[in-house]
Amino acid sequence: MATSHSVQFAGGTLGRQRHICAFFNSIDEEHRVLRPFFKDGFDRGEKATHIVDPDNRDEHLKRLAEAGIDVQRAMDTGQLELRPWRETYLRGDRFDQDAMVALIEQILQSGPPAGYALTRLVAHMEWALLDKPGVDDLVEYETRLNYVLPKYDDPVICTYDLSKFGATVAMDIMRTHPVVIIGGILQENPFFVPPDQFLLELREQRSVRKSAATAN
Amino acid sequence: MATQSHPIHFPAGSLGGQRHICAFFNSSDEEHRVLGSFIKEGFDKGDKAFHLVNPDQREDHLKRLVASGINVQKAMENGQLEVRHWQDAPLRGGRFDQDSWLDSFEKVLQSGPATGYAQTRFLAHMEWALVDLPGVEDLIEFETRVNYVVPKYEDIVICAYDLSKFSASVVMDALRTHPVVIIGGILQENPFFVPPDQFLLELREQRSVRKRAAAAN
Repeated sequence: MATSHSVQFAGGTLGRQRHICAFFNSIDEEHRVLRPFFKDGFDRGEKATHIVDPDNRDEHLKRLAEAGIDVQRAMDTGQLELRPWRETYLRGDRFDQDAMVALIEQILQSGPPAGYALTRLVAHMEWALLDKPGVDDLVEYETRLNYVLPKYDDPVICTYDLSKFGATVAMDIMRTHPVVIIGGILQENPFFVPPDQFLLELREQRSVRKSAATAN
Repeated sequence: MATQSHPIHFPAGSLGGQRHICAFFNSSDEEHRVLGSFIKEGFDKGDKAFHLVNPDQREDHLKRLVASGINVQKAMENGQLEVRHWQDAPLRGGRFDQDSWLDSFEKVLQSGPATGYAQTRFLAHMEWALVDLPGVEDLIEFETRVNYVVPKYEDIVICAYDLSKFSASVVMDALRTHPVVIIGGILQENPFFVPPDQFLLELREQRSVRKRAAAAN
């Protein structure tokens, strides 16, 4: 895998683990760090699926164009596919983690039949800060993706804007991704907790909260 | 969290000589569950314990030390345990002056051997940086500069951050300024650590970008 689908960026090379979270302080930083990841994928004829904040869509496309990507053509041919939150994470105006895990898997599976050996999936995660039912399941969803993504070679990058999230969520996000980009540097993540263990921990947290609520 | 909260031990040499540690916790319960044995071992070994605490949490902190089997009264009387309030340390004078606190911090480490303690276990609650006082925005610059000081000593320095109080930006920078980190109750060498020379350069660049942006507006 490393030979045929080698992916290098942010000062590192991806290994077998390809569920990545990327923490950024700004859109400038995001595009500076991910530019080679985007550009290499297009140059190699790989599929790019970007799930973006609808408010940032134009800005995102502008930045891809600045990186030397022929955005119009890539969208016409289907190599670049932009999906808004309301058709992915927030379908039906709520977050349904089961449906979303299935959709991610469907996106990855649709690459090869359409002639793409690899799909580079990038998702902006600030939809989880919107006031919608189910968004509290973000961390559980992230850990459950670790059951699915190892079946594929495709890199999946979940981007988090540090200026918008609280520290508690950010740390849980960090613990649910085997690979992390912080300060523009990609590293295997020693703080990663495998999904079996993390789900157990989430269950315990919930029962502690429930017994605390009953006690009050 | 219980599944993750094994007590932290510091076997000799296990940290590769790196002893500036940041510890992220979601609650005081978690903090004491994870650090309890580390604190207790220090007392048993005859190490000095220097704890920097929120005055509002002083009683609770001491109560938890007692609960982990430490004779707090005796340790405070003979000087083995020193509990310092924020306003008498980083917030002295109603502001945070990173140069003066860095200096005082180093003196605390130096005072250990002078008073017969081979090692000091320094534990700081870092929420003083959220108090609305001048200078607290220098927290991260201070943290990176601590990396010039700690390697000169044998002491263990733990900076504890309450995740429910800080923003993600500050916590990620705190992560990047400590060579060793405790997350989810697990102590690890930190691959995201940035050495102080490089981090100070980055801070300078950030500032000049912000200044240019401000000038452009």
